[in-house]
Amino acid sequence: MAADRLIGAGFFILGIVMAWASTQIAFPMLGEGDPGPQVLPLALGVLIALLGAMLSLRKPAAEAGGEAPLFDDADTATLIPAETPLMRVVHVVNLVAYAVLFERLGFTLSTFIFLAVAIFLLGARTLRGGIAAVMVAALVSLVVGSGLKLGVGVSLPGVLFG
Amino acid sequence: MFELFIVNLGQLLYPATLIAMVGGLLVGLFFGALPGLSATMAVALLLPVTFAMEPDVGIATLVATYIGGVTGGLVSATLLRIPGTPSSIATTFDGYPLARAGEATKALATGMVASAIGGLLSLLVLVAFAPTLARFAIRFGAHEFTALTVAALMLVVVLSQANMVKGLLSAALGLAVATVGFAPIGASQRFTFGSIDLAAGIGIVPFMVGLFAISEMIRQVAEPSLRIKPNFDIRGTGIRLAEFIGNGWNMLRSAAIGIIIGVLPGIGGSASNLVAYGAARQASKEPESFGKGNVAGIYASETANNASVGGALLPLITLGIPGDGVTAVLIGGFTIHGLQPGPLLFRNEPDLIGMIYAAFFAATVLLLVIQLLTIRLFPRVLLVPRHLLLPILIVLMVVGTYASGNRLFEVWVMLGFGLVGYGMEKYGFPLGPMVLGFVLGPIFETNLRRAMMFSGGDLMPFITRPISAVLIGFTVLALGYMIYGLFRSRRVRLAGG
Repeated sequence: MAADRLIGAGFFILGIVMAWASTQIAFPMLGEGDPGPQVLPLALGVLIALLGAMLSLRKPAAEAGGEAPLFDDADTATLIPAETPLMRVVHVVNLVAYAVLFERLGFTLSTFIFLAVAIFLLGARTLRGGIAAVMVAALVSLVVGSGLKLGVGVSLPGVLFG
Repeated sequence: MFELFIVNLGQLLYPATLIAMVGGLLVGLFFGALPGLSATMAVALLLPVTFAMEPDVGIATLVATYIGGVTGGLVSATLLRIPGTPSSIATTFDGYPLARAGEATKALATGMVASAIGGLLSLLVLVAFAPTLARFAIRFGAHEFTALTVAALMLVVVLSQANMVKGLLSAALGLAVATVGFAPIGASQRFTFGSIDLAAGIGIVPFMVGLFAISEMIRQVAEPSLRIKPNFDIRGTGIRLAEFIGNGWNMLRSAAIGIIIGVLPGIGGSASNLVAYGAARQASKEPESFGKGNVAGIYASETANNASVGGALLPLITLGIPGDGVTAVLIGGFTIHGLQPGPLLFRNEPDLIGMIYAAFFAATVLLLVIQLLTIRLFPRVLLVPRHLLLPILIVLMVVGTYASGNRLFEVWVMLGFGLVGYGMEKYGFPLGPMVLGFVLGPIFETNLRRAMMFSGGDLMPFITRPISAVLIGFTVLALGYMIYGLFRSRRVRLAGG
């Protein structure tokens, strides 16, 4: 499998870098026989490099012809197709923006924006869906924020009514 | 120990504790019931929420979540033929045909009762054997703990996956992640790149939530997923006393299988239900009826998977060694609440041990009551739409992870490990060994360095001390088996052209 060769090569390089970096660790001698804090990272670096090389160089096993569907009863479940590449990028941007804005805008506002966008995009993208997304987002951001802050005592930035 | 168990049981009756436990049970049940979500995710997600609780309440909540998560898989296994968790795979074989025949209530109720019996039997074994194992483990020194962590990791790699190289790489990666930050002895900084955030190391909460939960969220968006169409025509006659008594030996055998497999690192509930199901079919006078709605199959599967909970807790609380992902998260939760699992726990914190037992018992009984009362209502959680569930779960993950360190850095770490976890699973790297590597890394390193200092750099005590020698021998055997497996598969490939 080509991916295994590539991943194996990546692990090989990671192992080499880790082994080299571990030799740069400064440490005081704590007693006779102490192998020091660099011995585990060094050993792990060597091991990761060796295993990476094995993964990269070995003859790939025959593929099993794709993953067989485990449950095929159409009356209990149907398959939802994956999101399009463009939508995946939009979801990633929404999530990253949520993390960036979490402390800046505070919990309630950043959560409201994230939820409204995510629920709208994952659900039916209609006017009705948009209104429902906004309402759910407002409700969840208010209830979760004040519930966690007042009810459980979790420290969160910028909680309205909390 | 039984007295402490009774005393702590009384403490669980405080309203705040009871509410927290029921909350944990419901969250666990919910995560267990929905395909894709797991007990590990439920415990990881609730971990930060328990920070603000008293240690005994927090621990009781986490234990309840764990038990709820293992049991929840029953619902989707029976109604959809899709196991909510791997622990309920065998339940689908007979639970679903029974539900299709219009006896969903009977299938669900049988599974609920069997789960409770399995849990209680394994609790009995836990209470009876844990002090003995702990007394034995007190004789463990640094050499023995070093050998034990290596043996546990090796066993996980050997038993959990077919691809040994990827399993070993996963374990090594987990160990490597654990080396980031201050060294456990001497406080030298490692791989911090001058960052103050990294100096504190990688937190267990962002690591676990990212690896298990965020990766699943990514998969749900990036890959096709299932839209569930359950049949809620839940009616039927319920369980019969004669059937219950007739399956007494089946439940005892399945509980024994569940406990033994639960004790072994790396397999737990996901294998125990299948093994117990196979044993029940083999022992049955009518094996041909298995797979067509025979309740004995449900009794076997559900007794075994809940019995493996008590089995998995045995090495966790006596040796401080987690056996799988969910117990690794649980050990993180115990540590956060000031409980250091290991042989000294029985001497230093007998109250908290009693609390774990009491929480286990109370959670099992409460779970049975809640499930039986909501047998027609609870299965409707399967209808929660994905477009609401995923974003709300992500919010809870971000909030929980942020609260675990009160800094945004933890959230970035979580998202990073979410990507790592998704990529690893996509390309066939098991996550279990990585988690165990991460949790066992500091234990291994601390004990290795102590052992080497005690013996002045001499490695011989590892093979001259009897317990350590047995564990090293065990590791060598596992390694030999692994290498033999690699050669055998290569020979088969060559023979097959």
